[in-house]
Amino acid sequence: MEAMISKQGAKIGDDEFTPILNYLAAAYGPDSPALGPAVMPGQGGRGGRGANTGGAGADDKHVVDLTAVDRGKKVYAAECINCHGTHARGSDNSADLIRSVVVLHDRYGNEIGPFLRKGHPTQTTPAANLTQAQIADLSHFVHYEVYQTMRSALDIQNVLTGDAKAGGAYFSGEGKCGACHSPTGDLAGIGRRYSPVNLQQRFLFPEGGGRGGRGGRGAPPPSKPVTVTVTPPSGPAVTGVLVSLDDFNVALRDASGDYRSFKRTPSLKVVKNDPFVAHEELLDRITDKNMHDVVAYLEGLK
Amino acid sequence: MRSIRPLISCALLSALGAVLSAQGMLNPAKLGAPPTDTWPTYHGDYTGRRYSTLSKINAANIHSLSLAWVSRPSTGFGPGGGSAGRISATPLEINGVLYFTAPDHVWAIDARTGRSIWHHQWQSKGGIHIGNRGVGAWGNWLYYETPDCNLVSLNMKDGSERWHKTICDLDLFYYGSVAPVVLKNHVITGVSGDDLDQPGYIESHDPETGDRQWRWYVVPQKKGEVGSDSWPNEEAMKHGGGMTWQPVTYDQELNLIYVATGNPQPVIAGKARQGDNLFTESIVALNPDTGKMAWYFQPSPHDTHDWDATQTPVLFDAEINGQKRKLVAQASRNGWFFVLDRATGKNIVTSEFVKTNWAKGIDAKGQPIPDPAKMPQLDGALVTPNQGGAANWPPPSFNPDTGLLYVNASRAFSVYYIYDPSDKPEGWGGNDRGGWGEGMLEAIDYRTGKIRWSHKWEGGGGRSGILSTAGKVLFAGDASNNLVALHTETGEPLWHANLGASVTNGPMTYELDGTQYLVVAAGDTLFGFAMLSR
Repeated sequence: MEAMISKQGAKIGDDEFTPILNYLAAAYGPDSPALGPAVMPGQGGRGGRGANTGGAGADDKHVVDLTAVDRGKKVYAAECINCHGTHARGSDNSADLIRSVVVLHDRYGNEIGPFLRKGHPTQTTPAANLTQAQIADLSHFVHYEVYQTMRSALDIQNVLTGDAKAGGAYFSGEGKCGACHSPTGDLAGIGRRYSPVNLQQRFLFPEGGGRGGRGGRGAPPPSKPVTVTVTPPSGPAVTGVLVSLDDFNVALRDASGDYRSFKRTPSLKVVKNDPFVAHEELLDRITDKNMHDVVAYLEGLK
Repeated sequence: MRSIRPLISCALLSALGAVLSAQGMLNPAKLGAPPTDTWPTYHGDYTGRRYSTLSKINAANIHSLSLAWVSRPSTGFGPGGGSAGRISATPLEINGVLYFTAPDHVWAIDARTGRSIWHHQWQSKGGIHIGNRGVGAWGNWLYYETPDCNLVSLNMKDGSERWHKTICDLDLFYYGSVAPVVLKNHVITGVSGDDLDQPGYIESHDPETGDRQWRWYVVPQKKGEVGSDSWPNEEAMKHGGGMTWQPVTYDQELNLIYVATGNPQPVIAGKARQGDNLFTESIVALNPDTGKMAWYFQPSPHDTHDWDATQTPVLFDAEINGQKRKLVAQASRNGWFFVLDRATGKNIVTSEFVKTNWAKGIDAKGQPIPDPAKMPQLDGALVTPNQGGAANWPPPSFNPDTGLLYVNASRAFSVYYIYDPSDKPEGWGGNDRGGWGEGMLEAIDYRTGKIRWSHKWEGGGGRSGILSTAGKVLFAGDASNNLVALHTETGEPLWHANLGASVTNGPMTYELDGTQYLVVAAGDTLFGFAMLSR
């Protein structure tokens, strides 16, 4: 990726560009883990918004045809890439097509075509000689690139950057992880069961949920429930999985599966038992280096 | 004759008043006055305090608060007439009628009964339909923004369209969601949208014709303009974002509007926009007649966490070191609380209202200094607050009786990632993921920025707006679908009603026929509570 990015805006030939685009298609394309089957705003990656009126932009927005994108890539590589760069983001001397008002107003070449035919310079074929089909394909490719810059189109690259040995030391030392966990017990083979990203998310946020921002994603679901013990003044204490708790009421599901709810009063004792409290406290203490080291350590527990 | 004239005048005024009332016309004197029998702007008045002098509902009698009506507005489609989705608008109340919105929809209902009076629907051409904050009002007219970038004026009497004007370009992925604010002869509008890298701006329109009077860009559009030295180049600056998501506040005496601006763009991946990125994530004072800037203060220089500083700039007059001052305060999404002199923008208080981990300290201007290590990283940076922020769009309340600013706050962590490591990332070249958080209602002392009291919501974050009153009560939503009344001085929970859905707007209040009403939205439904007499 780094090598590819360094070529942005540089002059390269079609033979060099094709493998790059193939790489891009594999990394970010419709079959990649980062993308769903369709490519338009609101239908992009996981965590993206739904399409239609809930999505960004006009209802009559350009809908990308991936087959045409493939053809458009070739037109782009032959005629445009030298100036406008790999991702159509332009350079000091050429327009950023992702931000181009002509492109953003375009539908299937109806703006791009007339603009080019006014005599816009190209690499090989004069713009006036480009066919309507080539312009439409080019339009699909550029709109594809526009949509790829929008929310949730891309994904996390690599979180495996820490020092496993230091992570092990933190695990059994300052992090106090060893108080509840064992690399040969409950965590044996955990590096095989989860991706590094999920390891990172799961050890930081074992309760799951927490979606992050709009278009962001939550951590994996929790492995253990939060429980609560309620003791009425007349006894006996009732313990169960916490269903809801606010200033006025508490509800739980007890060991027999029965739902129980109580009005909270000064004489009703309520004790919440959060199995993840040590993880929550860790958030205030752990450094980013510790975090990366622990991920490397856990990933090594094969 | 002399003695008769005043009588005639009084009679004429009474008759005129009756006619105006019947037509629904907003008395201009109500705009900017403390809201009592009228709630004529998004915040009730121009200050953004969301404070009511009404006290018929108070801490002593709150247990007698009754449900007066329930109103589930219909969009006119689907089973049961169609749901309004989520009502995030604060209704206006004018002459006994409530006016409120959902994206593409405006309703008028009876403020005493919740009975539907009229429904207006906009034929949409697109845009994000995530929420709409409500209408503005002036004379016989209402104003609202549509997701597909129009400012629309309606006749208050029947909801018929008077005119509409384009305020943004839908193809550039802008949309409209802001409640317009009408002041003098200006309708002030903002723009929404941060999917691509476009500049935010604020506009003033003529309330009669809808014609644009001026536009102020949040980010400079040319090198050499004020603030342009906080950007690396013109390209980054012109596409630098700063959406104007929230209604402005206004000081009539200083003749300044206070605009709170959104995040810079590209939002998370900020490599190609080094610098403070003015005037994104800033509180900016503008002259409403010209659109010229008087001063600015930036709560989040060079933000990379999507922490729009668009929380209400709340205006109040209060003492600082024994001197009466004209102040503006903000509990910002980045977790910091600021008090400024609103005539000059000079900082008076800067403090954290939740514990954060992203700032290295405070600069000479009172602005937090971002820590580069806590900017998004390829392998992740653990940051608090998370992207949702320590506060978000739901409006806080300032109560002059207690000197406290109340905000529904969140202390949450998430991991921020860079997805696009190139030298010129665009759009969303990163994001945050996961998280753990807790929610609490915080009462912040404006003099010190210290927390006077904090009430933790047991079930997690409560993300509602807040109303506080002279009756020593404040109203907020918790995470368990309760509308809760707390004592303004102590934070003690006094009363609640479970509405079956989270509170989704800022509660508002008004008095009609000697009865004080409290109106709040939860999901697709409005609930009217009242202190009903026997």
